[in-house]
This record gives sequence, structure tokens and C-alpha cells, in this order.
Amino acid sequence: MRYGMVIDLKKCIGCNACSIACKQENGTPEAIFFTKTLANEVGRYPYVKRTYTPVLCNHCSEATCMKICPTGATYKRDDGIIMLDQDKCIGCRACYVACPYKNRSYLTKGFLKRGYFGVLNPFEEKKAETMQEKVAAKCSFCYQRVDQGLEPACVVTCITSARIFGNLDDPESEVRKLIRLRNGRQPLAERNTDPSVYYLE
Amino acid sequence: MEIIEGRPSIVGDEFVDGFRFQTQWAWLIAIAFFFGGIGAGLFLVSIFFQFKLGALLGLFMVAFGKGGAHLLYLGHPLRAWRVVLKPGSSWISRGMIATLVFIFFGFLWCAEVIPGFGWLALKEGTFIEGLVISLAVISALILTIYDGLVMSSSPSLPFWNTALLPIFGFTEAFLGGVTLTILLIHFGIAGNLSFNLNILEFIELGLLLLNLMLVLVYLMTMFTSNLTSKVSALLLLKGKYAFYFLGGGIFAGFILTLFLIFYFYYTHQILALVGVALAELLGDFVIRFTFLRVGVYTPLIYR
Repeated sequence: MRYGMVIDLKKCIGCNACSIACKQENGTPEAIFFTKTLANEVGRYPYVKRTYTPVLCNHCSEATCMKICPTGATYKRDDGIIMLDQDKCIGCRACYVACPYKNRSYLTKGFLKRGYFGVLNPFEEKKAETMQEKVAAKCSFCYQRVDQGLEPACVVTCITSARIFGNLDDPESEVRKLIRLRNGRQPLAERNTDPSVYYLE
Repeated sequence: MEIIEGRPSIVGDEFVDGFRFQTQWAWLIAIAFFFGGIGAGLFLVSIFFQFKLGALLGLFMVAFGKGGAHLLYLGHPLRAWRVVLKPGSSWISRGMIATLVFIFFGFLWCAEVIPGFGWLALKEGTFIEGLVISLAVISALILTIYDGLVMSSSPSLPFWNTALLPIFGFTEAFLGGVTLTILLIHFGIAGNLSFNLNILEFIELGLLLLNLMLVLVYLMTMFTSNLTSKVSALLLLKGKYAFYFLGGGIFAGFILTLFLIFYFYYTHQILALVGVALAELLGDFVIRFTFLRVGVYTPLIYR
């Protein structure tokens, strides 16, 4: 079993609903995004087009963040999800630096006390209890939902179904079929990290 | 957004694709790498000349300079003991173990010079002394290349991902060690140490030229390997960090140091020697700092 995600770049309209759904699910503080949609402007006037590339932790098979982590705070579950144990994290930020996709976050001091509007609202208070300051933070493929048989929040909320979640080890799964049929590519494959996120173009 | 060669190059946290700076490892990490390098370098040179006071100074630089900066940087310093748990895959873990081994065995070797620690003096020529020296030297050697190995072990930042970095770290550390040893000898701290000072000064000059050559080779390699490393190299020469790199790293670290070495050779003014040490160490620090800061991530699409 290896969970992975396929993102159809032709379907993504850059609405960032995935970013909002992720924030709602994980209660991340201001300026912390476990997923976001990057815009790219291609070409020269008048032949210009804008494309969008959603990014998130790629849950790499050969995760550099896991290798460089000196404490074992970053670890891989049997289903391929890269997790972070905040109780073991010392805040050295080596994982942040080592991620070739810059998809790690660091929760600086005071981050969990400010809230979006100066003080924490009840929702932020509840979510802040599950996080620590001065440690790294990252997308966990919404493991709490996946363990219940649900899909990650960003996948469920995507209005164009650009994100597809499934088992990469199953040749009959939708994600594997799409990768096969449409030549799915991994981001920065030359870094040899074997990401579990594929892009379709 | 920074513009390089007429193209949008560096982006911040905006939701756009582009080259992004490494923003986390900065001056505290540079201080730790700097003290780790020159401390281990000074220890190695001192152990070669049986100069125990110099070795102790190098040891303190590693323990308090490197260790202190690392601890200050950590989000949770009280959990720092966990760092030793992953030597199988993490160079940070290996570095921490090497640091602890270095501090313990290095201290055993030179502790006798501290008043009250004379009872720790090792008998010369014994197996125990050989073991202590061997472990201290091996761990010190690891410390000289440690920062280069940590930086180059990850493929995320192409400017760091090169085998040249540990080599450069080693020569920088050795140069720092030689420079400080010469300074300590001229200040009379080395006591009645008997060796030819001219040879040490000649080694310093050679190491300085070797380092300059390594920096040039490094930059040439980065210019020709891929676009991301070229962007990093351009940032050193034309961009945000050019003033520091060219002014502190190249001018102070090499040109001014060379000038002062020759000035000292002809005048034998002790002030010139202090200038050599200050300029060389400043250059060493600035190069480590700027190399950390110009680490740039490759964009996903735009290349």
C-alpha cells in the first residue's frame, strides 16, 4: 500500500479551494499553508497564458526530509504517508531546508497565539491544542481522514476534481491508470526522491 | 521579486512558481559552522605540534562557539539529546556524535594544561594515549568536513549539492587553524614550542591560495552545472549578497590577507599579523554565511 495523489493540471483553475479546505481541516495558523496553488505565466504578450500548479508535501518514497532528520521525528508509515512527530522535533529545520519542493513549514514562537484576527477564536483555540510552536509542520495527507476511509480534505473539496487520491501500488487504481494513460510525471524527478504526487499535463 | 538577466528570478512566499531562497539557515548556523571549522582546524594543527593550550582553545571554540550557536538556533534545545538517534542516515546525527567524541577525547588529551586538571595527564607513548589521540583526530577531521557534508547531502539546493563543499570546508578549517596557531606563537602563548615558524607561514600562504582557487573552481562549476546553481552564483557576484561576498569573502578574506601576509613578512609588525588573522577569519565567516544564504530552490515548472 502506498498512498499517492494525481493532480490534473488541465483541470486546475487556481481557485485555491484546496488551500482553504486544508486550513479548515488542519487549522494551520496565518501564513502556513500545507497546500497551495502556484500560478505560472507562460509566453509573451499577446500570446500569454496562465497555468496553475497545486503543491503539497509529495510524501516521497526516498524522502530527503526523513533522511536528514536527526531525531526520527519525521517518519514514514506503512502506507507511505510521511509523518512528523512534533514531540520529537527539536526545531533544527533541517527538513525544511532539505525538502526540494520547499513544502515544509516552521511554526515560529507566538504563531499559535495570534490567530487570524489578533486573538484566537474557539475554532483556532481547538486546533492550536493539536500543534506545537518552534517545530516543523507539514501536510499529512489528512491521515486522520484517510484512516477512516475518507479522502484528504483538498481532494474532496476540489470543484473540478483535479486531485485524485488512491493507492499507487494497485495497478487497477484510478491514480495508477491515469499515470499510465496520460504519462503522469513526478515533480523534479531528477532529485531522485520518488514523490507520491504525480502531475498530468 | 528579484530580477536576474532580465527575467523574474527569485520569488518569496507568493503563490507563484519561481526560484525561492532558502530562508531558515542563516547567521547562527554560519557561526556554528565557522567555530566548528576553525576550532577543529586549530586542534588538528596544535595536536601535530603537541601544543596543548592551542588544542584546548580549539576545543572551547567547538564546544561553546559551535555548540552554543546550534543550541541557540534550535526551537527546542532541551530535546537536543535526540540528535544522536539517527546516525544511520543523518549527517547531523553523525556530526553531533563526532562533536561529543571530539570534546571528550580532545579534553582528555589537553586537560592537563588547566590548573587543577593535572591528574588527567596521559602517559606518553602508551596505548591509551594513542587511542585518545586517534579518536580526537578522527572526530576533529569529521568536524572540519561536517558542514560541507550536511549541506551537500541534500539534493534540494543545487548550489550546495556538490562534493566540493566538504573539501572547501576542510581547507578553510585547516587555514583557520594554521593562522590562529601562528598568532598564538607570536604572542608567546605557545611557550617554548620548537618548530620552524617560516614553514608554518609558508603553509598558510599555500592554503590561502588553494582556498582562493577552490572558490573560483566552485563558482565556475556552479555557473556551468544547471540554471538554479547559476542563479545562486549570480546572487554572489551581482545580486543581494555580492557586497558581502566580494567585499568580505574575496577582498578581506584573500586579497587583504595576502597583502598583510607579505607586509608582515617584510616588516615583522605584530599588528600586521593580527590583521592577517582578522581578515582571514572574517573572509572565512562571510563565505560560509553567503554560501548558506544564496541557496536557491529549483522551481517546479519555470526552468
